[in-house]
Amino acid sequence: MRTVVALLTLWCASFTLAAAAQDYLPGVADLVASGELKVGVFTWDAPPMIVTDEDGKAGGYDVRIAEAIARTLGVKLTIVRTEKTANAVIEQVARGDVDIAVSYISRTPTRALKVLFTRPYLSQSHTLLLNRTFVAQRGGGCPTVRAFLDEIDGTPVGILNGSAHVERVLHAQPNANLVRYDSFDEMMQAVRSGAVVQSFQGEVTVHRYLADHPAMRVFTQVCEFPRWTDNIAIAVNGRRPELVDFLNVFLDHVVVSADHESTTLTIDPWYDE
Amino acid sequence: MRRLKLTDPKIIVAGTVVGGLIGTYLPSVGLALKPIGDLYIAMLSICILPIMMTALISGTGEMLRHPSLRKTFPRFAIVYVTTLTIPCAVALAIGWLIQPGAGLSAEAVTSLGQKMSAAAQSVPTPSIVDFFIGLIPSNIFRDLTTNNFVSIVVFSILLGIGLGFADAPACEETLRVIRTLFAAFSRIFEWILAPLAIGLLCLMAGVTARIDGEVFFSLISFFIAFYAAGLVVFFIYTVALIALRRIDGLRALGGLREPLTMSFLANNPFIALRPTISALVDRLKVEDDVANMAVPFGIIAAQHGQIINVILVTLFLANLYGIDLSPVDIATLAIAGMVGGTAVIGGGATLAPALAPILASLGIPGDLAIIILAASEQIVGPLISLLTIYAAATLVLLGRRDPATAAANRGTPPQSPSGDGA
Repeated sequence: MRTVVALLTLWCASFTLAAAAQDYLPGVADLVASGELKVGVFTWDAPPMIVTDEDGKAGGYDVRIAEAIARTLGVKLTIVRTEKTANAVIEQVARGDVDIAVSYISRTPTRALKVLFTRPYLSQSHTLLLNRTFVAQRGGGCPTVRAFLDEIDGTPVGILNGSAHVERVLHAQPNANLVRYDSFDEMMQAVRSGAVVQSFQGEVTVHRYLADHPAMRVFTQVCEFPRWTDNIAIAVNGRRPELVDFLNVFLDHVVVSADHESTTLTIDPWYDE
Repeated sequence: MRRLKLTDPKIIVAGTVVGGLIGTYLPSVGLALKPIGDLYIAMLSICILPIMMTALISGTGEMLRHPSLRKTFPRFAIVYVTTLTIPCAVALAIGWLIQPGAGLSAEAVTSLGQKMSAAAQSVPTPSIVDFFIGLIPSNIFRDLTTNNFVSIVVFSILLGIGLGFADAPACEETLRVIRTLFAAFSRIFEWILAPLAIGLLCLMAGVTARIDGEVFFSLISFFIAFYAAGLVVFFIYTVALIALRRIDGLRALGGLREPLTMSFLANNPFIALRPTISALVDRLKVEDDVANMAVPFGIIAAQHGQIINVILVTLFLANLYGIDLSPVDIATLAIAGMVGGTAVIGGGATLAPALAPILASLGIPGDLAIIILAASEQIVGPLISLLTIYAAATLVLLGRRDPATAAANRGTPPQSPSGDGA
């Protein structure tokens, strides 16, 4: 009975919002009037932020956030998963093929030249995954950021192609010896086998990968750079600055927290399903 | 009569088997019995430190004050160093033969990885200088309160040497007082020892209920290598004792049955300290001063099972990570294994600080070591305890003079320190 009442309320609310759309700010009004929110999400899974279920349907924290945004706006959600990398999703948003991207997207100055960004809904540390044998033979311990940047002048570091990490590392160390991977899983397995002795990525995905693949802990070791943060935000088409304001207020009701063992998402219940 | 029944090796084994069955088939009962077992082991520990100190001080002092016994010191030193190489060589050979960490299944590696998830901390790597500083009894009162056994042994031997060489009339009296204290503590220990079978039943019930089956099977090659090495070392010592005519045939070794059984089943060599001295003095006719000095020293410094453990854990990790050890690495492991394995008291994760510098020097990742040591403690610990007692007994039997000569030189037949008689 409560579900029926809730659905009726939402149905009524959607009519109310559509009727009121003409009073909305310019960047939001046409979107609400169209009745659809197109959200870009890249094709690879980045658990727990983006996952694909057995039926091929997208899920994960980012999709839950997108669903809550659409529900709040009173429009239908359409997930567009056609692009393979985060950089490609940014281009998709810039072209206007999608309205926004909620896709574990890092804010970078270069990307900010093409799209608008909300405030971060997740701040994570940049993280190294190191082959344990390499660490032991180097004398153990985790490097400082400075030592890491000096080291990768010669020692190769694995990195996900089309990710913000490429830009970050090359900005800090132009001579970095990058080994680019198209798949996160391929990069993780390369570190395990020693094909590449280390990889550079965000903490959320690497901790989740190790939790899902416990054998990796035997062969690899995580080192975090807590003061070198990676801010994850929603990318918005440049023609919709008012939508950014709306999303920033909406994000007041969203908390994504990451620690060493797990990442949790909390959305205020009246915005969540 | 009643005490003899409950400390008889057959009764002890029966009690342990019953405890193991309870822990396996009724784990909730096993876990409920575990505190009683822990309480019993704590009670047994009451007298271990006083017995060890008084035995070492009086044994060393008496030996040095006796001109003929004093001559045996160099012999003991040679036997001690020589026997250290045996577990080392055997462990290296068995490890090379079995390759305990090679070809682990994906399930076995996953099982180990799950344990690492729970304990994702680096093994501390103390410097070798800190390690040796820790052996010096700079504050014996602090060492006594923190159970720093190695420092206590060093202090007791030094005090024994001082009393042995000091030219003061009261030295003889002091040694007699210490010897009396040793006899008193030994008597208390024997009273507490009476319900040993019941205590071990409770202890084993709790231990069996807690054994992690998944980790056990992932380390099965390691356990096979460890027990193979341990049995080979046991065999070599037995052959050496018979061939060198230090015991009168294999049957004479039956005298050590009680301390060996006790140390194995209780997973604690210290509990068998007093019974080992008694067995050597009463049944194998060792001079009591020699036994009092060498057995406590051997239990601390001749932990041959620990040497095997250190070397095989290192080889397991080298196999697992696909690291080929050069001849120089093997030599480093041999020397470091002998030093590290004998200078650590306690099993399981307590061995990690000694193992960490060895692994670091060989470039082998060490974080998994603490998991292996903790997970394997209940399996390898009993054999480590047994080998420690057997190595201490072997040290005494190989290091002592010929029994007939000893008795003739002293002019009296060997006597038990507790006055129980041979």
